Amino acid sequence: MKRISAFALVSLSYCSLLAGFPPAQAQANNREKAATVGLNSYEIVQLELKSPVRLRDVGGKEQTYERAYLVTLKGTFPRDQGIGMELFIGDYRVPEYGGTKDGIYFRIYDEKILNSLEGKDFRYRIGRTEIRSLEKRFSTREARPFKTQKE
Amino acid sequence: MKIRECPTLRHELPVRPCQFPSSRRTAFALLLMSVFLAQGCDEPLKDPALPGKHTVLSWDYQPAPANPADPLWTDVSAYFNSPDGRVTYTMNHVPLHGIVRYPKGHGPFPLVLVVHGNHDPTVSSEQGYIYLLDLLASHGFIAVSVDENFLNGWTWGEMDARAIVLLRHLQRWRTWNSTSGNTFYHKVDMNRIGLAGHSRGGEAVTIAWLFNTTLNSPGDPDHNFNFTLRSLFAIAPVDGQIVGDINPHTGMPYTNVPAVIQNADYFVMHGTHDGDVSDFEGYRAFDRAQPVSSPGTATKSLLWVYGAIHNQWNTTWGTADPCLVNPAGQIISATDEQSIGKAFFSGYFQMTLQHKHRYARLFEGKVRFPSMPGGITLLTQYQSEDRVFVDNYEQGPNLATGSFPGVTNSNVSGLLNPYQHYTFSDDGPPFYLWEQTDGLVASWNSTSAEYEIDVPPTLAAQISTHPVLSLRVGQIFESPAMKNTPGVNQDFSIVLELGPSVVTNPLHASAFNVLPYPVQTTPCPWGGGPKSVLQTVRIPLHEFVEHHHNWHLHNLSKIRLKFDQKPSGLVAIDDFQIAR
Repeated sequence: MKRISAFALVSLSYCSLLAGFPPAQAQANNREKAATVGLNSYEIVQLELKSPVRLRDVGGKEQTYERAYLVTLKGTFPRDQGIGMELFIGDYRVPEYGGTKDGIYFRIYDEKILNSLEGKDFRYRIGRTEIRSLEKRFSTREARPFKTQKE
Repeated sequence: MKIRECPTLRHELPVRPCQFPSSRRTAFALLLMSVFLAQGCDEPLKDPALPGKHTVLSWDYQPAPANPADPLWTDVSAYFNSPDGRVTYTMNHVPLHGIVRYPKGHGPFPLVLVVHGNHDPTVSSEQGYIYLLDLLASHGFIAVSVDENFLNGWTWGEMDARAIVLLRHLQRWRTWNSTSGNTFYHKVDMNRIGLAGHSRGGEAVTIAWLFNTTLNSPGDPDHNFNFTLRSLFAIAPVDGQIVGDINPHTGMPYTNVPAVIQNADYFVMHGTHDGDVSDFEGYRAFDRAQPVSSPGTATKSLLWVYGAIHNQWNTTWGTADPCLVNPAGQIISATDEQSIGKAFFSGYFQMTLQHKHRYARLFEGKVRFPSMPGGITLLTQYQSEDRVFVDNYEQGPNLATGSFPGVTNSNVSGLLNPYQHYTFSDDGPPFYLWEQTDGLVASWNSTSAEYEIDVPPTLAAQISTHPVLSLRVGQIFESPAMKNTPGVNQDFSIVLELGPSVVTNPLHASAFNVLPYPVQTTPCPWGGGPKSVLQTVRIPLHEFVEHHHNWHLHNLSKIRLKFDQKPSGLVAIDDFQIAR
């Protein structure tokens, strides 16, 4: 089992950004947000982890990571809802993500996975709907060399 | 408390059991009648939404902020580590916080945990079920609303963590129950535990049920589970979000997901106007529960509430959903929605954890209580723990062969058209069924149309222990309407043949439950729209032979559905069974 120790991780990384995060919005606003899904931009940085992260790779072998790639998406996505939005890059299904002030973030630990996603479409699916394209491709080229951010 | 079973249920039905007339005088008369009839037998069946006899006490538990070693802190980072930016906790240090209502007295009392779903993480979603906790505690339960707000927000992949948090709460309760000097020492009946969840919490309770055994590890204090989870209650749940989530113990996606509930009672309720989980995902969990391939060991039941929305089950989530489902004029008030929720919540846990089996009648659609608002259509489905399938349509596309050995089916004179085996998974045209099961779709334009089931003596021999004929049946939504008439209930007759010479008088399905036309609702941007939701019709078999002492049900040779009550119709049928 992976262990991640003593970190404020991304939630804390974003704390300053989120100081002005709005409280619960009027339902009418939620309805407007619910109606559209779109990806405006994304950013990739390298995270220096406070403590090594151990997790099993797809082969079940435990690996230790001292760095991760933090991918931050800005756009409009269903927010705070029961029904979920699955996020894909090509056929890779992002296993988990969290929210920022204006989008979502996720981490990729394995560089092999990162490299395998080059040029693939960002896609999504909500509930039972078909998988749809966000009409942007994932590429690390412009992000290299990666900016480094401390956890 | 022991409550005797009523010999018959039919007579408890008002003429229209779920749709009360608007006339106040008639409604009042029906209300009085329903009180009288609901009480029916020697002992009254009390309105479960009314407070019980117990004095209710309150408690709140949460970790001491300054004590990192407090066992009420827990680490879920292995399961989810991408909190929303509004969350102030790190996932390796999240609180086990619960709001408790419990009865005064020695107990032991059954324990029920309720958990909210996804919402703004800055809102205390757990507060929204206190109305249910108060009620349940007054009926002799320890009821807890669990705070999982730290998993809320713009999040995905946290379903396993939601389930793990529930199990970690149960670990605390087990400790308190076994710790001398604790307020709850020997006060908790750890053999009678129920879980309830709303929205993502609704799937979380099924995953907690799954992890309770699959992730149980007696030697690991964080995963020493193996609780006796007897009863699950899902409120407008999501389903399948766990699929693809990574099991941190293997590095691979979880197996055996989504959960197939067995050996625990399962209930789901959902509204026609749900503007969040607008695709009625819990219907699939209901279909999977108590699978036809396994002996029945527990009940499953379902409530489909016309006009109910997603958020109003929780008193802190407001009175509107992210998406407005039209016609908005049909949306019921929060008060009405919560009144319905209270009756079913309390009735369900009294039925499943306190052995008050007569509350099954609520889930069979046989009784309505005065606390439940009139004028609201409620569809119910109920399967008892002990059932013998005649036709469940899971054996393949050959409709002639039934599920019970020796059962054969026929479309008499070919007058049913279409008459087809169908996978009920369409979430739109042609049949709007939204399920995860197979069944029969049948239509008629002639009142001579019949569906005939020939049954062998080996099935008839089981009637003495399975005295109820039960099937799920419902009108199919049509666009445009052709065979069914919007706004008009459907009906048909059932007769039995008892050997070569006895044909019973027909009984009408409408005498046992109404079959209303589906609501035409608008979809949300992510899906939804009209749904053809079925209704269970349960007919006590002895009603076919009343007043005929020489007619014997053990001679049953045919069950005939005669579509002779309406000139045309289009229906879906599934789970034909004899049951307790």
